[in-house]
Amino acid sequence: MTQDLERFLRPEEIARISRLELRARRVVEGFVSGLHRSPYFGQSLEFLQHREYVAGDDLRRIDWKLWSRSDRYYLKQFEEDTNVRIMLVVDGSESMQFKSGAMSKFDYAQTMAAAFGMLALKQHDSVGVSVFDSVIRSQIPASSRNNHLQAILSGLETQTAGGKTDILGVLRRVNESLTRRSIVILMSDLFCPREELFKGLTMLRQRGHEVIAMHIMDDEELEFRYSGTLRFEGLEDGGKLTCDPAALRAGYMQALEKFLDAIRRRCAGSAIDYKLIRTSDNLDASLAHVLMQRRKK
Amino acid sequence: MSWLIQFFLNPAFVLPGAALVSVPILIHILSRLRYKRVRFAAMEFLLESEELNRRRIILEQLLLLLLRVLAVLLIVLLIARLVLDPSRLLMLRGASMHHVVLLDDSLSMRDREGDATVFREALTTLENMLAEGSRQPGASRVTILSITDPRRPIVSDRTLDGALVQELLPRLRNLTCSWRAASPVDAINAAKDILAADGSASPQVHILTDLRASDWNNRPEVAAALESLKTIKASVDLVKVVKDARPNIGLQQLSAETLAVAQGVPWRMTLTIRNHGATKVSGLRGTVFVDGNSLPGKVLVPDLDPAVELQISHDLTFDSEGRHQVEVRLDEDALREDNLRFLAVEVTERRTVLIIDDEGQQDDASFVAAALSADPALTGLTTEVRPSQSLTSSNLNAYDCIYLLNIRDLPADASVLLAEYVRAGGGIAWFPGDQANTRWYSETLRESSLNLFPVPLGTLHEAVAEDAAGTASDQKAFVNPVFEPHPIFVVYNTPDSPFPDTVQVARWLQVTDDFKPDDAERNDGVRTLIRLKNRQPVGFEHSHGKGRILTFLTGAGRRWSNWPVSPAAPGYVVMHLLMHQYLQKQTDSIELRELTEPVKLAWSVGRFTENVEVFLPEAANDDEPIAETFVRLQATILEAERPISPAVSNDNSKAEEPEQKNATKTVQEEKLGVTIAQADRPGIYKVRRFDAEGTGTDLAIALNVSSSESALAVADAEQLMQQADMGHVRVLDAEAAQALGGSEAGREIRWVLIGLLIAVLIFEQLLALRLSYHPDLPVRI
Repeated sequence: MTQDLERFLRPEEIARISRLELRARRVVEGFVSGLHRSPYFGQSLEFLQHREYVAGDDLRRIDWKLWSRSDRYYLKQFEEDTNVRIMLVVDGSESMQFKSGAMSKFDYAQTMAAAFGMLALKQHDSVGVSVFDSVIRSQIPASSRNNHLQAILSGLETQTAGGKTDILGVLRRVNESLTRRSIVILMSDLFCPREELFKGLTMLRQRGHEVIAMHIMDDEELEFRYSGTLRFEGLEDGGKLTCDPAALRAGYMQALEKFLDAIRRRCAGSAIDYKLIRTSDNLDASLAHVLMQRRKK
Repeated sequence: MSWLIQFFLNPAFVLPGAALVSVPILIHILSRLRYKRVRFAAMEFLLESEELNRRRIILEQLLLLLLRVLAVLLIVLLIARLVLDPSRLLMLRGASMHHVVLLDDSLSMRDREGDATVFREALTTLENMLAEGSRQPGASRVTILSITDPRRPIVSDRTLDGALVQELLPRLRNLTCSWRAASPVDAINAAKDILAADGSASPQVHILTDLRASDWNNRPEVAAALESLKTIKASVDLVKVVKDARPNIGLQQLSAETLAVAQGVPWRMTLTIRNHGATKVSGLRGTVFVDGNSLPGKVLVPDLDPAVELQISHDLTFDSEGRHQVEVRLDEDALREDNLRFLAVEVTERRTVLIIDDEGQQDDASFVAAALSADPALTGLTTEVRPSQSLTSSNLNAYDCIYLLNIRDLPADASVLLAEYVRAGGGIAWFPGDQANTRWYSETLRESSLNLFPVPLGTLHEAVAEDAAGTASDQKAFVNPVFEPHPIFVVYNTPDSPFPDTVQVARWLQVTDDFKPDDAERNDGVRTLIRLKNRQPVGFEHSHGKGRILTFLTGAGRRWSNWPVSPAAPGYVVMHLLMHQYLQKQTDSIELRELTEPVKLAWSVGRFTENVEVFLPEAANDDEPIAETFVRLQATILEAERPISPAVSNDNSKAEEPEQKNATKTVQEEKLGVTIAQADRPGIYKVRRFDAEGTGTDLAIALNVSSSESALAVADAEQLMQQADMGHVRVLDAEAAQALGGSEAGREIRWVLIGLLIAVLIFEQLLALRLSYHPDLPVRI
């Protein structure tokens, strides 16, 4: 298990991510105080510590009593409490097996999901995980218990990529399983029927869930640097083709661009946060990017 | 495939090369069969791309394949060396291609164009042609002949390659132009003989020449020689190495009446000068050198219009005996070699004239002797008066000329000696007297073998005085002579000269009645010089061999006329002095020759031995250096025929048939001969030959350039081409000839193929770049 932890949650990654702030774009219904206005530390009844003021901090959190005594600016920090629920939906279909570097798309999605789970649990949010292909193969319900991280990691680790995708069915079942407003983070290559995908995502939005689409793709899929005569055999019964890939590259890139444009446009139209992530990108960078995007909102 | 091979210089590469063309196709097919498998997720986009670009990809792939095939094909063509013109291929392939280069080294090629001569220009052109030809080593053979000496090739049938060019370059640069005049006919015929014997399939003759009009235009023999090259299928390039003719003055001739003169007596030489240019020439001057020392006085030449020739006389007096070298130089111009001429003069203390007089008192001889040598210091002449018996005992060659006065007749051997003397260049003057044996004069002396007397003699005639009524009177009668224009009658033919009327002839020997007085009607080579006013001819001239014979039927003394006495005496004296000059035997110790053929000498075996010494002239400072100034040569036996006259043959000629009696018989006589190859430039050459006792006899040869080389006008190429069937002849200038050796004329398309290959490779690379993935180019998404 220690090895698993090291695999998914390397200490340097945890330390780096712990400095970031996850902020909900909308007001999520919570049990204690409602809004989360601090990246890591919110207003709570339980005082935690003082911290010296730095430029950019919210002036409303300055402890003026302490200033009157010491003539220095300090901020009051409290143990934060929230009722945000996060559902990580990880694509485990066969197309996620593809890799040209060290990690396949599924490996990358697993790691990302574990990181999100740890981040959320650290600030006492509830987090759950679902791994799917044509069905939901593994589902860990959302929880904020301290020992829930172990369950999430176990749920992720036991899964491998395989099988076809039925995105609409999966999203419908996720939607049914969420009884409270949640943040749904979909980690997938999105190689599925577009209409079904957006039908499912729209369904989640209509139920008041916040949806983040993390589009994970391999470098070769994005750049198509192949040369020489190759025989391409499609995953998920995608067909076969023997060709000189260099000759097809321009058309491929054109079709890919068209696909990505459509995804971006539809996500923007449905108020879905969209992020294209390469499997060669650093995990913390990808996490930070998503969190920063949300904080801006 | 044999038809294909004729287009390639290296046909062995053609078939393997054709096989190589299939390599790109095989690679293309194999690359389609050998592939890697890739399990790929985004097949959706790949299939969409393939669907959209299928036709374009097929076309591009085919084009790329075609370009690669074409590139291989071009490389094969380059290696196999494609040649579009099969006739050019023959030359390049070499074995059967023979180039004969005729290098014009005649005197006119010394024409200067700036600092360099036209000959040097021709050598440069030749070097370029050879260097160009050597780019295809072993592809051709070359023979180089000079036009002046085509029988001694400069290069004889050598394979043309870099080694030969390296060997030839120093030789060519050291080659000098000759001073000789030469027609191209001999060289063209020599080239034809070489190529005909060689059996070359497509021979080429290149003639590097200044293409002078005098050599090439209106010369049927040259046109015929060029045309004859067509019979051996030779093509001819006439390479004109001179652009335009430049003005040139030529000292065409330097001559004198005699080359033997007495010390202190004026000697006259004549300069013949011609303007060969197209513009008038003024202020031309000549300098006279005697024995290498310039004389202070200049010869001033009047203005010379284009194409005008004039003669200028110039007198010299020699103060010392011996052989003197006379040299005349005109101011320099384009061809300075023809502004220079040489003469040699034999100067003795006195010249001697033999006077034979059989009249007892020898009065007539004393008048002649007085006229010739009254003051030897002035005339330079001495006379010897003898009877005819001394003719056979005298060395006649020691005398400038011989007077024969009052001879009745002569023995046969004396007549033969006289005939040989005249034939060798001696001159005689007949003054028959009243004792003359007219039959001997008319028949024996007029035989064709002797030919010493011009007319049949008749009887003695005396002028008759007539009174007013036309009847004879007792008064002394005479007739005045009329003198025809002649060098010896200058004093009589001068306008308004009083001397003709002072001569009164009272008696004379008549010609026979059947003698036709009209020279043209007789046409026997005899010219009438004097006629009396009664139309009687009394003075004649004819020649025999190299000598001249003058005949006077009026006597030399005063018995028949008043000619030697006052008032006619002045004319008498002048006439006899001029007669001496006119009859003077040319010295056999000096020869005048022109530089056309090699100098050859021949002599009877008994006269000189085979040892010959030649003293060559020293070169002027600006001439090419001479390797040696003295050579010793060895004569060799020659076979020659010598005419033998019946009079001296001791066979029984009287028994022969009449028609054969006068026929010339020949016998084989051994002769020695020598060729002085070193006599190749103008100047005075001294040749010393030795008799059996070892006594040396000198012969001076004044060798001058030929006047035929002075005309530098360039031939009209069109006119040349119209002289005969000249379809195989091209006239090129030097620049075109240099290009001839290059790729253009041969039409070998090597450079075209290389250019095409580069273009194909560039296009292939561009297309391949377009069809392949390059990490630096794509846009990151």
